[in-house]
Amino acid sequence: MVELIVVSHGNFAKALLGSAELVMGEQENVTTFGFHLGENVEDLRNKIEEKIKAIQKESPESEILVLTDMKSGSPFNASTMLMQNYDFYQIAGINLPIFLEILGTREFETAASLSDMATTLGKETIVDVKKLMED
Amino acid sequence: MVREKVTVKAKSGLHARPANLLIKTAQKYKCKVEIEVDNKIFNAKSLIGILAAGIDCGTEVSVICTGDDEEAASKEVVELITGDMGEE
Repeated sequence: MVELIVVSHGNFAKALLGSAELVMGEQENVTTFGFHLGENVEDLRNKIEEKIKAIQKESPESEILVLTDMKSGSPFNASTMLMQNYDFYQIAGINLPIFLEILGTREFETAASLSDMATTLGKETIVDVKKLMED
Repeated sequence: MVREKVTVKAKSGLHARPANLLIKTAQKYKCKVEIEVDNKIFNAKSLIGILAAGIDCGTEVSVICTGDDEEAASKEVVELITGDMGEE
C-alpha cells in the first residue's frame, strides 16, 4: 500500500482526510500536516522529514506519496526541498475527488501510476457546471 | 463477457459508502468490472467513476464483467447491488 502524507495551509489536510473518511471509512497509513500562522517552512519540512524517515524505517518496501494543496505554496516548498534527499512522489493541487480515487486504488497501484491518474483526474473533476448544463 | 441487468436496492443509491463498497468488491477481481446505465459505461473499480454515474435507488443498471474471473465477479457484484449495501 502506498503511504500518504497530506500537507496543506491551515487545517485543509486534516479536513480533507475527515471528508474522505465520511465516504470511505477510517483510513490507515495517512498522515496530515498543517502549516499554521507563526510556523516557518523549516519546522514544517522537519515534521515531514521525520515522518518519511519513520515510514522508511518501519516499512522500507512502501512507496511514499506526498499530497500538497498548492504548487509553490509553503507546504509544496517544504516537500519539494526534501525530494532532493528522499525518494518519494508528490502531487500538488490535491482536491477531494483526486484524494478519494487515490485512497480507493493505492492498495494495488504504484505511486507513479497514482500520480499519473491524479493529473488526468484533475482536469476531469473541475467543471464549469453552467456550461455543462448548456451542452 | 458476463452481463446482468439488476435494480439498485440501496436506499441512498450508489453514492458515498455504497459506492466505496462496490469498488472494494470489484477490485478483488482481475477482470474488468463495469456498470452500464442509460447507455453510458462506468468503471466499477473507480470511486469517482461510480459517483459520476449518479445512480439512485431503483435504477436499473447492467453489471458487465470481462476477463478470467468474470463469473465470480459478476455473481458477487450482482449480489451486492441487489442487497441493501449496509444502508438499513
